[in-house]
This record gives sequence, structure tokens and C-alpha cells, in this order.
Amino acid sequence: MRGKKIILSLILPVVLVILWEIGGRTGSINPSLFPTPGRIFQAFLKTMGNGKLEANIFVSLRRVFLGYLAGAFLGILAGVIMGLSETVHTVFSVIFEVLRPIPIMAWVPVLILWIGIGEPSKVIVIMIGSFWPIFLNTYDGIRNVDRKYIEVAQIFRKKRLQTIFEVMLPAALPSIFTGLRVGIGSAWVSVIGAELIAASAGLGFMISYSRELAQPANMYVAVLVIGIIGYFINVIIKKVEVKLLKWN
Amino acid sequence: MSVNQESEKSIALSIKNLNKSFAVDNDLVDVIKDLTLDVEEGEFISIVGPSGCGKSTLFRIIGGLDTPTDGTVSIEGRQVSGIDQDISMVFQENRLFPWRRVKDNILFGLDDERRKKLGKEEQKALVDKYIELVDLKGFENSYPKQLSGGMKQRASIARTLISDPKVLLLDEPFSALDAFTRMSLQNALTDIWRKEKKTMILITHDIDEAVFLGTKIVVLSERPTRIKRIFDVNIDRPRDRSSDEFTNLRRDVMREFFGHKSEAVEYNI
Repeated sequence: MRGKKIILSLILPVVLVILWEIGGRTGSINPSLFPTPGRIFQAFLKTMGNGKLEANIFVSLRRVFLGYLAGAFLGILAGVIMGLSETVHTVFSVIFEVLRPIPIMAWVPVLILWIGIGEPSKVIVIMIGSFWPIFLNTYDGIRNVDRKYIEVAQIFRKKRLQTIFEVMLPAALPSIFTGLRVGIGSAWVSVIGAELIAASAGLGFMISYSRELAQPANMYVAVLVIGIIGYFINVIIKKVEVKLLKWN
Repeated sequence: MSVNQESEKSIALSIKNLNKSFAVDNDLVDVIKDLTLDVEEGEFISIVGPSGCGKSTLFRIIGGLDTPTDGTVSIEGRQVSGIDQDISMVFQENRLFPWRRVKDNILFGLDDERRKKLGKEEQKALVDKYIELVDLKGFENSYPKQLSGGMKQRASIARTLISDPKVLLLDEPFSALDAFTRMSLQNALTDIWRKEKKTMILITHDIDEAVFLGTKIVVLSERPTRIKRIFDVNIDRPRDRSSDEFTNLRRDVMREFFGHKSEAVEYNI
């Protein structure tokens, strides 16, 4: 059953790649816009061979890792505190409601102005990008903890902190994980965006640089690698989620 | 409950002149009106009353989750306010934490003070004792979603028992179960009550259940809730649901419940 599904899911991509290759070779697809899969694969091997691809992947992953970690930490912290205290939520509500709709990319020039073009500005963009979904889902999760569970903690005379850690946080965990999953997607979008605008390394930089040098095959290598890495990050998060939420 | 003259048992729970009203659209609605009840130690009180009367509110007040407008609740002569160690509750929905295994759900009921004094091994032994008592051996490591409705309610009872209250409130604990599971849990609860010698108070919609379990049956009126009548149940255990004394008492309670109206006969099928 599982094998059958995998085969079924692979048919369409394989057919498309074959058509693309044939189209490129027969000249019905312009190879300077769409290099054939064969050419892209050669470019992949070449950039891997001279270490450029790995270097760019490493730079982007490092930024995502740092920014996402900071965003997740702050998002969960803010979500829990505001979920617990209506007063704190009210105090921050106006500022948050104004900041939230700002597209992440709008922060890139602002941050460059503030702290320059170096690593911190990119990491902070990613932090902002992952903060919002994680904060919102954590906040919702804490706010929507079933009163009935809290009453159980009350009846058994548990202290406030114990109620938060043993009842409210576990109850909100599925929601927090939704935030973490959306957040990593958003972090990945942010890093590429930031690198497209201003960077001297990273997968986003590789795309814009290849365009400037008219190396379309390298550009596609970077685009595909971004997709593949995003896919694997998702797989990892899902694995962690299944393990931690096996009760759900 | 009026104090039984011959009995030397002490009063476990005493409710005096309890009143509760809620504000609804600038009007005060009386939910409980001047309710007074004494419960002797070791009794099993079944409370029946029409739906929408203040049964659950009464329980929430006794359990400390809600405050009375007026009146007092005392345990062994000590007036209680708010949530108290000596009173605990089994909820209508089992309210087990889905993220905790059965044994950890039960351990949650253990009082923190007591827990600190016990070592890990002693805690485990205590949990095991209650798991055995409610007949859940072999399911210690299951998550609630892996249990049937009846098993969940057993675990929930164990969680309340381990907190070692003097008075146990059971708020329609079996109402969501199918008829056969309900009967098996009624039997189990009778055994637990006899072994643990706890004072138990049960709210139920099921008059059969009230007669089967109770040492006394308290019939409540419609809102505002007051006590309509108290029946003593002097039927030997294990009780036979088809015996004459059982069916006679059930009929009497039913009549009281429906205010001697003729529907009683039709409901009594």
C-alpha cells in the first residue's frame, strides 16, 4: 500500500522532468531560460565539487537555525505570558496588532539601516518571521486550555506554577507545534528573501548572483536545493511532533 | 439528613442554610434556597433531582469551585471555604489529562505535601494500590485515548481516591456510559465504597442507580432547589434490582420525583 503510494506520487515529477529534458534537447524549450535537467544536474555536481554549494547551504542554514531559535524562544515566551495575563496582552495589543501585518521583507532595509549589512540583520529578519506564527499559536493554545482541566488542578490544590507547567503547557502543546511548523516555513522564506536583497553568501545570494552572471543552471540548483531542504526540515519537525505528541 | 438517634456515627459533612442566587439580566435568580443537610460518616448519599435544578451548582459549592450567596459547609464540624483537602470530586466527564499515562493521571491526584514525604517507590506502590482497586491492572502505561469510557471513569475515580478526601463528590459519573458498563461500574463503586469506607455523595439522573448505591436518597425539588424528601435505603447488599423491596422503593422515589403525577407510572418501565 505504502510502496504503491510512493510510486504514484513519483509518476508526475518523473514525467515532467523527462518532458523538460526532451523539450530542451529538441529546442522547443529555450535552454537559456530553462536549462535541461541534465544541465542542472551537471551544475549541481560542479558547484558541489568546488564546495560553493555546500558553503552557501551552510551559511543559510546557520542563519535559519539562529533566527528560528531566537524567534521560537521569544514567540513561546510572549505567547505564554500574554496567554496567562490579560493585562499584559492588553498593554501590548496595539503595538502587536500594528507590527504583525508588516511583511517580513519590509524589515530588511530597515534593519540594514539600523545595524548594517552583516549577519545580525539577517538573523533578526528570520527571528521576526518565525516569531509571529509561533507567538500567535502559543497564545491561542494557552487561552483555549479547557477550563475543565484547570478545575481538576484546582480541586487537587496544585500551585499556580505547577498548573502552568503540568496542565496548561501540555494542553497547549499541539497548538504550539502548529506554530513551530508554520514558523520554520516562515524562517526559510525570510532567509532567502533577506539574502536576495543583501548578502554575499547563502542560497538566496546564489540565486541573484547566478542571475547576474547569466548562469541559469546554477540558479535552478539553488532554487531546487531550497525546496529540498525545506522539505526535509518539515519531515524532521513532523517526526519530533509525532514523538512528543503521541498521546494526541 | 437528620441525625439518626441510635447511630453513634459522627457527622462528616454538614450543609447549613445554603443559598445561591445568580444575577441574570439585573434579576436575581435563586438557584438553591435554604438547603440544610447533614451527612454521616461513611454514608452513601444519592441525590436525585430534575435537570436544571441546582444539583451541579450545589456540588460546585461543596467542592469549593463556587461560592454560596449565604450559608455554610462544614467537614467534621470545621467550616470550609473554597477548595479543601477533605473534599474531592469525580467529574461527569472523566477529565483525565490526555497527555499523561493512566498511572501519571492517578498520581496527579496525590496531595503535594504527602507526595514530598513519600519516595518514588512508595508513590508507585500507592498508585498501584489504586490501580488494583479500580481494576485497571495492565493499563498503567496506557494513554486515556486508548481506554474505553468505563475504564476512563475508573481511572478518574482512582485519581480522586488517591487524594484521600474525607468526602467524595460524584457528579453523574456514569451518565455517559452505556447501560452494561454503567451497571458494572455501579458494582465496582459499591465495592470501593465498602473497602475504602469513604463518605460518598452521588448526583444522578438514574433513579435505579440512586437506589442501587445509596444508603439514603435525597430528592430535590425544581429550582430553587430545596430538599423534597429523604428516603432511607434499608436493602441488603449486594442489592437485587428485581427484588420487591428494590422496585417498591424505586417506585416511591419516582413518585416523589415527579410529584405524584400520573406520568410516574409510564416512566417506570
